[in-house]
Formats: sequence, C-alpha cells, structure tokens
Amino acid sequence: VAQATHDRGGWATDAPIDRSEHELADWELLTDALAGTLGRHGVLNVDELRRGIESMPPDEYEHASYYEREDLDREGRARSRRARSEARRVRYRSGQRVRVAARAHEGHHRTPGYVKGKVGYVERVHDSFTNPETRAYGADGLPEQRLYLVGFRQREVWPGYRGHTEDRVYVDLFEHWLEDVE
Amino acid sequence: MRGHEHGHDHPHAPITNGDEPEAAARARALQELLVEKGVLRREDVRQRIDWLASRTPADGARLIARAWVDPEFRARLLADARGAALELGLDPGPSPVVVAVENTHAVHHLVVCTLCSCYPRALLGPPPDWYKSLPYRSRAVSDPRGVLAEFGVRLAEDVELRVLDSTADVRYLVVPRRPDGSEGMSEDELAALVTRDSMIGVAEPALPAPVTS
Repeated sequence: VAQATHDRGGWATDAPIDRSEHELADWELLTDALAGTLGRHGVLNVDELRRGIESMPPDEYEHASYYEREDLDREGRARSRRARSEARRVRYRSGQRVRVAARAHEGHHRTPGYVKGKVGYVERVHDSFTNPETRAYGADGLPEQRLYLVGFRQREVWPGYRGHTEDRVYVDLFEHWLEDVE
Repeated sequence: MRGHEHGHDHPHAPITNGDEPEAAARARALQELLVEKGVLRREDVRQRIDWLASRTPADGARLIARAWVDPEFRARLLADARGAALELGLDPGPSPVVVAVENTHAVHHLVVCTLCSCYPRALLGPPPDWYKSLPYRSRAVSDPRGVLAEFGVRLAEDVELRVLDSTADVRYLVVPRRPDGSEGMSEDELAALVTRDSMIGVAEPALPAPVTS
C-alpha cells in the first residue's frame, strides 16, 4: 500500500534529528490558538485541519515549517454539530490477534501505512471516538468507532529490524480497520 | 489626533517580529477577519494563547514525582491519568484521553506520532520541534534503538522497547524510572529531575551533577 506524504513511519532516511530547541514565535502561538479556538467553537475540527494539511503538495509539505502547514483558511467553514452517539459494542478483546486491513485509502484516515496488512494483538481496548474519516469532510463522525491499542512485533513490521525479539510498536487503530485472524 | 484618523493613505507598518514567513501575515489577517465576522472573539483567542503559553513539562513532572513517592497514586496514574492529574489540581486538557505508561528495568517506552504531532500538550506544553520533524517521525518506529542512541540513551540488549505511535484520540505520557540514589529526596526535588524528554521516552532522569565547592 502506497504511503501518503504525511504518513511518515518507516520512511527510509538517514537525516539526523535536529534537536535544537525553539521558542514558539508570536505568529506560531497565534496560529495554534486560532486552530484551537475554531475547534472549541465547532467551526473547524482537528480532522478537517489535518485533511487540509495532508492535501498540501508533497514538496511543500516537506519544506514547510510546522505552523506553515496549518493554513487555516484552506479548510475552514462553519457548520452545525450533532450530539455524540452512545458508545458502541466491543468487537475485539484484549489479547486477541487481529489483522490490519491492507486497503488503500485516498482520503484522510489515521491508519499508518507501515502496519497495513500486518498481524498484531490487542493490547488495550480504548473508548469509542468519532470517525476521523467522515469528520474530516464536514460530517459529524458518527457512529463512533471503537479504538484499540494494537501491538506488533518489530521484526514482523520491519524485515531488517535489529534489537530485542520482544520489541514492539503499538498503534491506536479504529475497529473498522481491523480484521479477524483465523 | 493619533492613530488611524489622520487622513492620509500611507501604509502603516504592521507590528511584526522582523523576518516572518508569509504564514505569519496570513494568520494575523485571518484572525482579523474571524473577529470582524463575529466567528471568534479576540478574547477567546487571547485566552487560548495564554493557556498554551502556560502549559509546561513541570505539570507532568509533578505527576511523576508523586507517583515515585506514593505507590497508590502511581497505581491510580497508570489506571486513569486524567483522574490522577485532576487529583493534583492539574489541567489534563480537553477531550483526548491521556494514558500513562511506566518504564522499568525490563521495559522502556518511547512515544511518537508518525502522522502529525499528537502529544500530551496539556501536561507537557507544546511539543519540541524535533518531535514534529520528519526524521523523528520516520525513524522512531523503524529504528527506535538508533533514535534513542542519538539522544544519548543506550538501552541494554535485554530491555524490551515499546514504541507508542499515537495515531488517534489517546495521548501517551511516559512515567520514567526513578533514578538510583534518589531515595532520600523530597517530592519537589524529585520533580526537578523529571525532564520533558524523559516523559516522551528519549531520556532518562538523572541525579544532579555533584557540585564541587
């Protein structure tokens, strides 16, 4: 499955991590605060904001600084919100093996490419949350989707992985991305 | 008469901080527009700025220090970090759920958000630039031991490393291991040992360097 530009986990890179500290500039704080205030007022939710960021041309995404990516007027528009629905039932139990659907998805979604098609096990059953895939496009994200923390053996995710055989990577995944394992 | 009513049309220099990217002017213009249209009040934005600027890793450190000295609180923190934060009078933030995970001699946790920048901001403040950088987001999942070495943390071979990719509504806070030799220290002294990076999992708390007089 091809990975979108923002879906960064496991991209081949030798680039060092720039660890220099940086105080947020006024305009960066303002941008953050605008996004937060628009969210609290129900004008622009975080998935719409993310969808806007993810729609940047790859070259611009890679070169923009963090807050340059948050171009709020790219996606902002007013709408009403409905109340949240009841939490849904739980399909998978802690310890159960699950496979991540290997399907491609063009739109905004929160399943990283590096675990698509991989088998893991449920480490933790979280609450249910609104579905980012519909919420990013003006809908209310209902019905809510159950969220699970799923653990994967690093050696099964990255063929060349060195390190402890028990090393794992854990990813929060929505139920509609999980499949039963025979 | 001062200000904008002096009847000529030279452009006023906006109040800026010198070399700013285009995005800065856009953010300011957008704020003006939203206020003018009545979508947001200027006070709402100001309060949000103040809230953001007031968040620091010191809050997270208080949680950790209390957990180090009080085993029952530690259990409550691991079971319900939000409730534990409220118990100490801290603001755990709005809706996203906070989950605390504990480092031990046998297990080490490292937190990343490969898709964007999810981070327990209410308890730690805004994430550092490196946390949002593309190399960290790429390598923290595929080569976490290499990343830790880059940050100066050399994990023993037999320590199990757990990387948490916070892709959705949950935010993860690492409870680092209490350093050996800190037995006699007070809760406040312990809190001072807990760094932001240790609560992300890229550092381990250390005792202060001995002062030679």
